[in-house]
Formats: sequence, structure tokens, C-alpha cells
Amino acid sequence: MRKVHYSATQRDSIWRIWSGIIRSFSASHALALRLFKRDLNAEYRRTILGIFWAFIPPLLTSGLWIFLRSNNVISFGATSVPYPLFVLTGTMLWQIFNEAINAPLASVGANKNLLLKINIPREGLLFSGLYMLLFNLTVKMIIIALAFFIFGQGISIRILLFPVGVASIILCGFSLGLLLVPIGMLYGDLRRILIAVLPFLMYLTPVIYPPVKNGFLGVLTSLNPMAILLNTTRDALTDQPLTSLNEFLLINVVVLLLTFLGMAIYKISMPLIIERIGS
Amino acid sequence: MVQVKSVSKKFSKDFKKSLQYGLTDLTKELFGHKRNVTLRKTEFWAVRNVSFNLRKGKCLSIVGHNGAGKSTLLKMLNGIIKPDEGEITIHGRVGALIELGAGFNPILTGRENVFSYGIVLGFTHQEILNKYADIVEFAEMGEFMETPIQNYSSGMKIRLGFAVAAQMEPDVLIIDEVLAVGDVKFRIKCFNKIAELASSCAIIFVSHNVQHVSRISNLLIFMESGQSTDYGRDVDAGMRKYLKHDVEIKSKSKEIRGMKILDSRAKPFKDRIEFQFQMLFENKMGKVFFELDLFDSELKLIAKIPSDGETFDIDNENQTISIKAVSQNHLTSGKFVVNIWAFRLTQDGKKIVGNFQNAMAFEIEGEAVSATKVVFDADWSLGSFSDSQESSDQ
Repeated sequence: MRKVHYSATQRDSIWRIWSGIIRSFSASHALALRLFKRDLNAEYRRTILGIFWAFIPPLLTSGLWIFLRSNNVISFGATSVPYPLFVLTGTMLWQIFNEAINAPLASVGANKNLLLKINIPREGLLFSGLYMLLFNLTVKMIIIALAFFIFGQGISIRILLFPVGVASIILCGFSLGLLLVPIGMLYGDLRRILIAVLPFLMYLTPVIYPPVKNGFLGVLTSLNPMAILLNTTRDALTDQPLTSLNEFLLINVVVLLLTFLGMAIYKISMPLIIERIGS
Repeated sequence: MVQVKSVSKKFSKDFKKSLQYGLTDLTKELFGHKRNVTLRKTEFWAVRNVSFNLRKGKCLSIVGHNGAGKSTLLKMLNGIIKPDEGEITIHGRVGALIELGAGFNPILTGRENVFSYGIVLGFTHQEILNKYADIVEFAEMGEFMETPIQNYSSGMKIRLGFAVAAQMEPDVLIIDEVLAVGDVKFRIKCFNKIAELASSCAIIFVSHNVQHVSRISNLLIFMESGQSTDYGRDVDAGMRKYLKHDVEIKSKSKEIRGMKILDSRAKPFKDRIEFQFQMLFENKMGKVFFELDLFDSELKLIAKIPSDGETFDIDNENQTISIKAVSQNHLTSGKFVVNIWAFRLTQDGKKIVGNFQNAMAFEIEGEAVSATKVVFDADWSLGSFSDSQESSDQ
């Protein structure tokens, strides 16, 4: 018979917490899948454009930059592939990162009522956000594939690294977002900071312009993990030489560690957060 | 099945401080430091040192006034929040009937919501498929299952929520005030369902409804400002304690359309109750008579004292009459209030001229035999059916 024990003095090691997460995975996955379906149905039932919203924002952003560049309002060096393709893949990938960093806080916040009332496998909320992300990702990929077809852009064996790159971008955003959940659930400031800071970060990252090698921005770019992830992923997709594979791998190791830690922190902190955020 | 050992929980009255403490507690928890067990500024104990044990087949009621800490205790039992002190051990699957229909999405249909709520409660998709027909039947909502639940009435949502939750086969069932809603028919249905579950699990039941508590539970804990008093099997004693703390009912006289109660009192004796009141009539009324309604401390109508046909003449203006009514005393103990109905006898029959609410109040001290308010005397003897037939004819 199942036995549960709640105690004030109970302290679980990170390994025990993770074994708990793995043991309850099928339950949290089932919950996540259901919540994902629920949210998807509800979302698309009350929108006219439905799934198109998954790519309309990056498409508009790309359109704007293509327009500005073609009118010589802005100019930067030549891009490796036709600029429309370059900016489209860049903004799509950035959008994925953006969604990933927001997903944990958003899905936990949206299901606050469930957390307060019912003892659910709480990782399920995170997973449901992740599933939504993956769904949107699929839609985005179709658009990119279409664009590639239109511009006659070829691919090579390097494409194999592309899924890894996308996974790293998602995991990077997700792990950062995960670490923000405990404080973000207590204080509303964090959500606002995210909204304010993310566009700023986007312009510091070579999303809409080719990577800069020189000057202050060059230094910043070489230190910016998102720049490395994004460039490597884009280069793999657009069949360009991969220049910073070592850094790419290092970032992945760090991101995996962050996720490992972040999940445990999430598990430990949720009961404490729940008692503070309402009844 | 359930062991609760000196469990405590504290909350902060101040919101900003609460968030700050949350942050400190979080940091401490993450670095494995001990929790602060003393009260910090603005903190108070919501639950203090509560212990009990519960076995299978038993039903424990927790009664207490608002803010006594009942729901906080249930949240800890349900694993939603952690105790600040003490420990809780539960063997088996826990089912909670707390917030029925939490997570319902208003624009999805009843059917879709049954599935998501079912998963939230821990069923598998297959289990819900198997039980779906039962759920719809229990909720009595066959024709509305494809309707978005934003068009449901609040009662219908609760019904659907309960129907799903009732499919649980828990070892420990936690129930918090869910029977307070819905119409009478459905409430009875829910109650029967709980009684059905009761034999196979341990139940922890929180309710303000005296009838429900005394009917279902065989153990009782009374909570007051976080502290608990364990009454064990003596449910009645606990209920008395709970009801004793009930709101003070003040008797007040009133003036209605030219009628005024000048004085009134009700006095209980062992065998009878004497009701007396003095009423001023500003206008001529002709023949008048009175009836009394008797309410218990929960303002539930428990008895009517009708007129015995006697009428009183009000032939002058500003006439005062004093009335005395003596009835048998079938009441147990507790506080009672009385409404006075005044009628006028006209050619068409009787006409209500006034209802004086809470016109009298009285208290009967002593030990009640149970949570009921009324007792009847009986002569107990051996007798055949034919005897009783005859006597009822008389």
C-alpha cells in the first residue's frame, strides 16, 4: 500500500527528489498531456486564426526587418544565406527561446487554482507548457521548410545537428524559466522584468543581423551563450560551417545541470510557495 | 491509516511580510537549514499541536468556527502544504472532495472537462472512459455533456465535479464542506455516496452542518484558534461544545404597522415552556390571534405553536393586551428564538397582520442527549399490533 509522509524536518537529497520525479513521470505526463489538450482546445476555440498565431509574431518581425533592410534604413554585412531566410530562422529560433523561458512561470501561474486545491504531480504543469511549446515548434518548422523551398535553399548532413540545437535552445530557456518560478510566483515583478528585458536581449544577440566579430558587441556576442546556441543552430540548418562547436557543447552541459537543479528546486519550493500565494 | 503527530502551521497576517518570510523559508529549505519554529513578527499559529489517529472504517469530523484552522489542517493532510512542526503519515490513496471542479475550463464541454478533471484527480484516461457512463448518470446531465460548461448553472458544475470525484476509490477520503451546495435531492445523493464509501475507507469530514456531522461521524475533534480538542467517540459532547459557542441571539422587540411589543419573555420549565408578551395595538383590529414559531440556535425552524382557537378582541385604539401561552417542553438543550405571528380574523378567514422576528429568546441549560433539539417521551411496554391500532383510532 502506498504510504505518504509529510514532516517538518524531512529533507530529501537531490537524488531522492529526482527518483520521485522519475517514478511519478507517467502520472505527470498524463496530466500534462490532458492540460495541454485542454489549453489547446480552449485557445483555438476562441481564436479565429488558431494555430497561425504560432508563427505570426516572428513572421511580422521578419517582415519588418526585411522591409527596413531593403529600403537601406539599416545596413549590416552580407548574410550567409538570403536575408529573408536568415532573419526568418533567427526570429523563429529566438521566439522558441522566448516561449521556453516564459513557459514554466506561465503554466504554473495559469494553474494556480489547481495547485492550491488539489495534490497533483506538480511537474505536470511544467511538462504541459513544454508540450505546448513543442506543438508551436512543429508549426514553425513547417513555415521554415516552406521558406526554404521557396528560396531554393539546400540542406546537408549538418542538418542533423539542427534538432540538437533546437533542443538546446528550448532547454536553455526552460531551465532559466524554471529557476525563476519560485520567486516569480511570489513576486509579480519578475514577470514584468522578463517582458522588459527579453526584447533588449534579442537585439544584443545576432538574431536579425549577422554575428559581429569586432568591437564591444563582438566581445559581447562571443560571451553570449544564446548567440552561440542560435548561431550554431542556424548554421546547421542553413548549411554553414560550424565555428563554435566546443562552446556549444559546454553550454549544453551547463544547461543540463541547470535543468537538473531547477527541477529539484521547483519540487522543494512549491509547497512553500503555495502556502504564500492564496487559499 | 492516518497518523497526525503534533502538527502545527503558522501564517502571517501581513501580506508583504508573508512573501518575505516565504523567501527566507525557501532559501533555508534549499540549503537544508531547519525551519523557524518560533513566531516571527505578524505571524500566528493557524494550526497548533494537532494530533490524532484514524483507522479504516472510521469517520472523523472536524468542527469549529471560521478561521479555526480546519482547512489548513486538511491542506496539510492532502499534501498541498507542509507542516511547520510535527508529522503526518498516511497509508493508502488519498481522495479529496475539496474544491469540486477545480480546473474546469468554461469554454470546453462537460465531457472534455470530465476528462481533464478526472486526470487531475489521478485517474487514467482508460479509467475515465470506463466510468464515463456512471459519471454522467450520477450527475444526471446526459443531455448537457456536449455543452460548454460556461452555460451550466453553478449547481450543475458542482454536480458534475462531485460525480467525477465520487468515482474515486480512496483509502482516505477528505471532505470539506462540499455538501453545502446543490439542491436537496442531489445533496442526499452525495451523502448516500459518501456513506457507501465510508465502509471501505477512513473519512475526515469538515462541515458546519450539525445534522451531517452527527449522522456520519463516529469520532470528533473540535478546533478553536488552531488548537484542537479531541472528543473521541463522544461526538455529542463535541457538538455541544461547538454549538455552545454559537452566536448570541438577542431578543428584540419591534414595531410593525401600528403594533408594538412592549414586553416579552419565554421561560422554560422542566415540563413546560411559558411564553408571555404584551402588545400594544394603535388601531382597532377586531378579533386577533397569535402563533409562535420556534427556532434553534442555527435559526432552523423546529416547531410551531399554533393558536388553540382562542381569539382576543381589540375594540379600542391604543389597547394593550398581555398574552400567555403555555406549551409542553419537548426541547433538549441549547438556545432558542421565537417569532410571533399576529393574525386578524376577517370574514374571508385569517389575515396576517404582523410577524415579529426574534421576539423572544431563551436558553435551556443542561446536557443534551444528542445533536437533536426535540425529544419525545414514550411509555415503553410489550404490546401487540392490534393494541396500537386501537389507540390510534381514539
